[in-house]
Amino acid sequence: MLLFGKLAVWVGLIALLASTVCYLMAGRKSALARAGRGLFFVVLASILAAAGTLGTMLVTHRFDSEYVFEHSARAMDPLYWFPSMWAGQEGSFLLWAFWMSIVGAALSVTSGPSERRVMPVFNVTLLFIVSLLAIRSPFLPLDTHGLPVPTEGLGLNPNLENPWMVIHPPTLFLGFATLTVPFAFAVQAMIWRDWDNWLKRALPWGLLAFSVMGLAMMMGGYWAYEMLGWGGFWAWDPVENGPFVPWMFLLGFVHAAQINRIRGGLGKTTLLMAILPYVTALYETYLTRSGELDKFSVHSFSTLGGAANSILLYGLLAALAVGVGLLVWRARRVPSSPGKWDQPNSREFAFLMSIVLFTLCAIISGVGMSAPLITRIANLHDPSIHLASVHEDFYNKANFPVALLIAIGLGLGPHLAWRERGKANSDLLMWAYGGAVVLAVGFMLLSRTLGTPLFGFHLAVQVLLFTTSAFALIANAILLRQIRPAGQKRIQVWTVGGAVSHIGAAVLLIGIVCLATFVHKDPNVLLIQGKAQSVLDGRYTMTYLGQTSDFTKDKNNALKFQVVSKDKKENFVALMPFAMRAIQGGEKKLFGHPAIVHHTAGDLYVSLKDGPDLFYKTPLFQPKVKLGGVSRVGDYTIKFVKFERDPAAAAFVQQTGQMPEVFPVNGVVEVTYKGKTTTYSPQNIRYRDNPAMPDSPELKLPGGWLLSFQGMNAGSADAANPNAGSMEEAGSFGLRADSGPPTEAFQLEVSTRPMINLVWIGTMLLVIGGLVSMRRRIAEARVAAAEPDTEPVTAEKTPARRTRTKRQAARVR
Amino acid sequence: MRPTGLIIGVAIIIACLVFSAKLFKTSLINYVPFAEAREATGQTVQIMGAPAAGTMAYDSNEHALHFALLDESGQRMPVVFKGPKPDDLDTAMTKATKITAQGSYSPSTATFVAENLLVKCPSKYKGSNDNGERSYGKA
Repeated sequence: MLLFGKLAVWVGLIALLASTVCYLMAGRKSALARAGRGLFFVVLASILAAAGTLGTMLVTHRFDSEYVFEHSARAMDPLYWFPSMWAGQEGSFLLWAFWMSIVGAALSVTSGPSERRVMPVFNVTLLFIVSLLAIRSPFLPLDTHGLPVPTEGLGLNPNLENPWMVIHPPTLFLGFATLTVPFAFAVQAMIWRDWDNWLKRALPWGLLAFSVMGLAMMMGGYWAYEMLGWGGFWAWDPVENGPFVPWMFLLGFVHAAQINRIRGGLGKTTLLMAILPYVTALYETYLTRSGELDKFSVHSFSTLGGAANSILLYGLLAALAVGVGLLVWRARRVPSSPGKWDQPNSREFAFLMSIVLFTLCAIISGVGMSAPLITRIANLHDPSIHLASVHEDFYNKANFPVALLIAIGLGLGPHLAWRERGKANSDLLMWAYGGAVVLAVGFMLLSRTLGTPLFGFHLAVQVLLFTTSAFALIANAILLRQIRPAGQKRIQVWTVGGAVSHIGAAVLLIGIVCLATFVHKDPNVLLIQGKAQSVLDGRYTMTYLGQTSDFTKDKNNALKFQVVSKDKKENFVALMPFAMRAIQGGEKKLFGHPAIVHHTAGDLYVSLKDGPDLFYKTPLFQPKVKLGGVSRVGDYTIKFVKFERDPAAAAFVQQTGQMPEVFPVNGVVEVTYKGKTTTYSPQNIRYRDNPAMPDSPELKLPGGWLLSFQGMNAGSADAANPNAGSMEEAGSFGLRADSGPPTEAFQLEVSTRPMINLVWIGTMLLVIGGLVSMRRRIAEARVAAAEPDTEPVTAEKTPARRTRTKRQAARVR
Repeated sequence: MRPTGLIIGVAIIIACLVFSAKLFKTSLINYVPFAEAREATGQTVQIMGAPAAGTMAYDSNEHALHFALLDESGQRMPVVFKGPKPDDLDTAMTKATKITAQGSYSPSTATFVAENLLVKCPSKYKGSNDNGERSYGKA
C-alpha cells in the first residue's frame, strides 16, 4: 500500500514533466499537444490513486503507516476520516495536488487554442506541489523501534472533529488551486504576447477562485465561532490573513479586468493583479509552514524542515521573479490605452480607486502578518531592533479607513457613469442616502436601548461605517431593480452578479459594525444545579439541569441548561458539549464547546468560563485568595484583608522558637454581597500534634451561604526566590450553599452576538454574486470562442517566429 | 482640465499608508530580554523562557495562573496569566519547553502580567497538526 502510494506520486511527477515537455514542443505538432493533455490525465489519475490509497489506508486502519497512525483512530466517527486525510502537512499537500490536477484537467479541456501555452505554466505550478509531496510523503512507514505495529492510532485533535473541518479545508484548497489559473494565463500571455485572449479565459477562473475562497473563509470563521469559544470568527491570525490577502488581490483582479475589458486600460495592473493572488498564497504557505512564525503564531504548522522548506521558499521566489520579471520585461509591449482618471465622478476613477483600496487592504494585512519576518531582517542590520509581532488592533485600526472608503465606493461607484456618458443619476442616490440616514438614527437609538458601552469617538466611528454601509446597501438594491427589466434575453439575468456581491459586502460590513456595537457580555456567571440565575441584566434566566450522561465516560456528553427569556416567550433547553477526550492518544482532557442559541436577530453565546476546575460535584468552592487580593464566587466578592495570629501564641513562637500546642489564626475578610460589604474573621486553629489544619467553624453570610477559613500559606513557597510564585501569604476559604444535597455547578460566560447572521448572509451574497458573474463571463467567453481565437500577434521580425506564426495560423483555419 | 481625480486618489493612498505605517510601528509587540521588560513598564512586550520547575499554581477563583520563567542565563521572571483557563493548560505548561508571554511588567507586584501565552511542547508526534503548540488568551 505504502509503496503503491509512493509510486503513484512519482508516476505523477514524471508524467507531469513529460506533459510539460510535450506542451512546450506542441507549437510544431498538434499531436504533441494531445499527448500533453493525455499525460496530464495520467497525472490526474496518479494523484487520484495516491489520494485513494491514503483514504483506503485510513479506512482500513493501516497503523503501520506513520500518517495513518498519527492522524486517525479506530474509535473515530467515520465522518472524521475526511479531516484525517488533511490534518497533517503531507495530507494537506496531497489535497492541494488533488484539486490542482482536477482544475488542470478542466483547464486543458476548456482553454481551446490557449491550452498548449497555459498548460506548461500551470504544470510547473503543480510540479512544485507534487515535488513537495514526493519529499514530505504521506506514505512513510511508522518507525515502531522494533515493537509490534500499534492496534490503535493517535486520532485527531478533538477540535478538528467538526463537520466544518470536513468541508472547509477542501474548499480552501480548491480556492488555492483555482487562483493559480489567472496566474498561469497572465504568465503565458506575457511570454507569448497573448494580449487578446488571456483575460477572457482567466476572468471566470478568477471569479470562481474569489467565490470559493470567500466561502472557505466563512466556513473557517464559523468553525472558530462554534468550536473555540472565544466568541469571534476572525482574529487576524496568520492562517486567516493567509487566504485574506490573495482574496483582496483577486478582488483587485476582477475589478481591473472590468476596466481592461471595457476600456482597454490598466493592462499592466490587470496582469499584476492576476499574478499576486498566487504569489501571496505561496507566501502565506511559506510563512505559516516554514517555522518563520514559530515564536508568534497560534496555528503555525510544524516546521516543514530542510528540503521541503527550501522548495517552498524557492518556489515562492521563482513565482514572484517570473511574474514580476516578465511584467517588467514586457511592460512596454502590454497594450493599454492611456487612463482617464482625472474625473473623480467617473466610473473609470471609481474602478481605479477600488483596485487601490483592495491593494491597500492586502498590504496592511500582509505587512502585519509579516511583522516577525520584517523585524527579523531589520534585526540583522540593526541589533537594537527587537523581533516583534503586531497587535490585533493594528489590523482593525489600519483597515478601518480603507473599509470606510470601500463602503463609500461600494455605494457610489456602481452608479457613476462612464466618462463620456456624463453625470450619474443623483436623484436615486439621494433616496439611498436618506434611507441610510434613517437607518443610522435607528442604529444609534438601538445602541442606547441595548446599553452598549460605546460613547463619543468610538460610537461616532461605528455610526460612520454603519451609515456608509447602509447607503451602499440601498444604492445597490436600487441598481438591482434597474438592471433586471422584464422580457430581456436570458443572458441578461446573469448580469446581477456585481450588484449582488456589492449588496453582500454592504451586509457583511453592517453585520461587523452591529456585532462590535451591540455586543452584551456577562463574563462571570455561576450556575448551580437547579437554581435559577438571572443573566445579561435580567434578559434571560438560566438554570443548570445537569449532564446528558457522564462527561468522564461519554464523549458525546453535554451540559443541559434551561433558558427562559424575560417575557417568558422563549423557554428552551440548550446543550453545551462537555466531555473528557483523549488528545491524540495522550492523556484525557476536558473539551467544552460553546452552546449557541440561534435567533434571527442574533445569537446567545454561552461558553465555559473555565475548564474542569470550575465544574464542581458539590457546591463547595475553595477560593485561594492572596493577602490583599480579591476573589469572586457567584454573587460574593471576598477580599482577604489580613490574618491575625493569636498574640500569646505568637509571643511563644518568638521566645521558644517552637510551635505552641494550639495556634489560633484569624483570617480577616471583607465579603461584598449585592453591594453590601461586611467584615468577618473566621478563626482557624493549628494544632502542633496534628499538622492537618481543620477548617474553621462556618459563618453564615447574607444570601444563605456559609464561609469558612481553611488555612493559609504564611511563608514563601520558594524560600530562595521570594518572588517565585507570588502565591505566598494566601488564605484558603470555603464557601458553600447552606442547604440541599450535593449538586453540580459551573462557571460560564454569557454574551449576545447581535446580528451575527448578517456576517454569514453577507459573505454568502458575495459568493453567490461572484458565481453569477462567473457564469456570465463563461457564457461570453463561449460566444467569443465560437469565432476562432486570434493567435497572439507577433510583432518581431525574426524569421523563425514568423514561420511558426504562419503554421499556427494555418492550423486555426 | 484639472486632474482632480488623481489628486484625490494620491492623497487617499498617502494618507492611508502614512496612517498604517505609524500604527504598525506602535502596534509592534517587541520580544525583549527580562531586564528590558522590567524597564518597559506599561508597554506591551513579549518575553520567552522556560517554566521554572514547581512554580505552576492556579488560582481558580481569581482565574489566575502563577508561574516563573527562566531565561537562558538563568534569570527569573515571575508571571501571572489572568484569563479563562483552557482545558489542557496545566499539562501543556508543565511539559512546556518554552513559553512566550505577551503582556507588560507590573513594578508594584514585581510580576509580568501576561495577556496571551504561547506554549511550546516538545512535539511528541512528529508532523502533528498543531506542533504541540497551544496558545491561550483571546486569540
